[in-house]
Amino acid sequence: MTLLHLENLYGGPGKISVLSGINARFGSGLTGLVGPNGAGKTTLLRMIMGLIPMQSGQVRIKGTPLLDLSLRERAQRIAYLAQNGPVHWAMQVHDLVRLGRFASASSDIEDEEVIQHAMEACSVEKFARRTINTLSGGERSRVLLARALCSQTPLLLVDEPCNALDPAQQHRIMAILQGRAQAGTSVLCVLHDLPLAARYCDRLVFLHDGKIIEDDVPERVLTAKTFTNAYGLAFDKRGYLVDER
Amino acid sequence: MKPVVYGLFSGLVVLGAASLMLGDLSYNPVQFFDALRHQGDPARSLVLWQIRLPRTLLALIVGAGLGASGAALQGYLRNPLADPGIVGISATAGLGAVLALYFGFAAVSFWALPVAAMAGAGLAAAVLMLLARDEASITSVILGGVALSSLSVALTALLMNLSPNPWALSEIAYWLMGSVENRSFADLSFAGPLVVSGILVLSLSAPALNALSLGEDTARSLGVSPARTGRLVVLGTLLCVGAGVAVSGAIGFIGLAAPHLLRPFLGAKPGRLIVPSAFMGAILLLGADVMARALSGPGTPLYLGVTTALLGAPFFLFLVIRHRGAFP
Repeated sequence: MTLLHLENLYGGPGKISVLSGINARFGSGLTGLVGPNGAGKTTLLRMIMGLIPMQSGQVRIKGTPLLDLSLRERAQRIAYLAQNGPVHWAMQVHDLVRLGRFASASSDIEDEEVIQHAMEACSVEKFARRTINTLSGGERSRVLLARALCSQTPLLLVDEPCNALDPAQQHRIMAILQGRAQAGTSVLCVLHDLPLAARYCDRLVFLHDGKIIEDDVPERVLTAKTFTNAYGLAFDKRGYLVDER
Repeated sequence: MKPVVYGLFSGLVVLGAASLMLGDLSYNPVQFFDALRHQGDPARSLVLWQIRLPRTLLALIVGAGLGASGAALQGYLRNPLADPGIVGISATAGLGAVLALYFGFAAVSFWALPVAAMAGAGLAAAVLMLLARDEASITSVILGGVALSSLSVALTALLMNLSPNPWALSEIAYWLMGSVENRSFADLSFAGPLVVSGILVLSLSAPALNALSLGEDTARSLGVSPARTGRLVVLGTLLCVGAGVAVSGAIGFIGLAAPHLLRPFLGAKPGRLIVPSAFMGAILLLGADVMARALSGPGTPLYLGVTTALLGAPFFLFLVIRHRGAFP
């Protein structure tokens, strides 16, 4: 079933057009958005969330155009974890995770159950009463992910969640996202670490110059040809990097 | 939360009692309750009802407005240095009032000065709302506020410069130092409803302010409109601070300090601090007024704006040094 449908998307921040004709459908599963810096990965996520206006095209969530949905209705369908998202106050972890229930709040008891689940999934429940500024980078990333998870939306957009984390933390984060995808959520995750993307993602969408140049399972996307086209890297017959194009 | 509520409530009761009972004419509890019921010495009853009660209630209400708007502005601007002064509303309200004094309108009608002050504050609020209209507007609001504040201070200084005589100049200068002395129930009936409405408006912004702690993008992804939140905060600040300046002059520091004093006990969630900061602001201003009265010599009253900063700033500095690791 298609949860997210992108139809011929054009646009970018301000008057700059970064994306030029993005077409794709996403159902449940973990999709990695990969590609060089400036390819339009973050722009695409922000446009799906409605944070950047589209110049043309359409984003549909379960068939409904994004622009027909209010901010609250969008928040009930899509959760977004920004790249290096700020936390401006030294908030308690529990309070911070609870913000994920902002648009989907139900009774206090049900909300608390969801918050506990999200914190346990991200192994941050033991920090619940600590303030965010007392945590390490990896712990902080998991707390912010728990905030996004407890929105319980069918669509989860995650922008470089493994940035600046050690390998163990990266694998923990990716395993959490994979678990959520296997439970039926459509997870779109921007990644620069290609081996990590190949290891965890069901599908990779390779962006270059605002266009999708490959969209398939990881083993078909991560080829020498794609690397040469997108990153300007050349490989010899053994697969070793030889020189810049 | 509960110990903080009890603490704030006790502070209000103790300071309220001190404000009503202590002064040149002191009351023991029996005299106090007699005066409250218009029994016993008519002079005591008169002083209590006509002088002490309006002064105390006005200090409470003005302090509450400053405290609540300080907490909301710090949350909205995500800046621990923010206070009603930084967005220019205090200064423009002050300019409005000084215009009323300068042109003599204040001597003609009681309402001229408060209305002029509210008009000044309203002008600043309109400009700030215009700046808060676009998304990602926090820096514009701060810069716009600083510009408005500087312009108002300059124009106020110009009016003082052009004052026709020393008496007019001293009237403006003393008014700018802030005071709740010699105020009546008319002042209270003007400021009270406006400040209470302002605090209610600011409270409406509380959930959105919590979400804005995670930045504008994340807040919008959670269903919050930063522009609408900005309008609520500016409107609430206009009502609270405009009305406060209109009846008591420019009083700084309370809006900055009240939320900071509560964060160690209530946590940093901005929305949770608004109403407690109103109570803390009320305590601070009433405390400063009681202190001002205690320290004033005969014929040389200490003004509120002076005592709030003089007494509060060293204490605030002590808190900043003590909790320096806890700031974001």
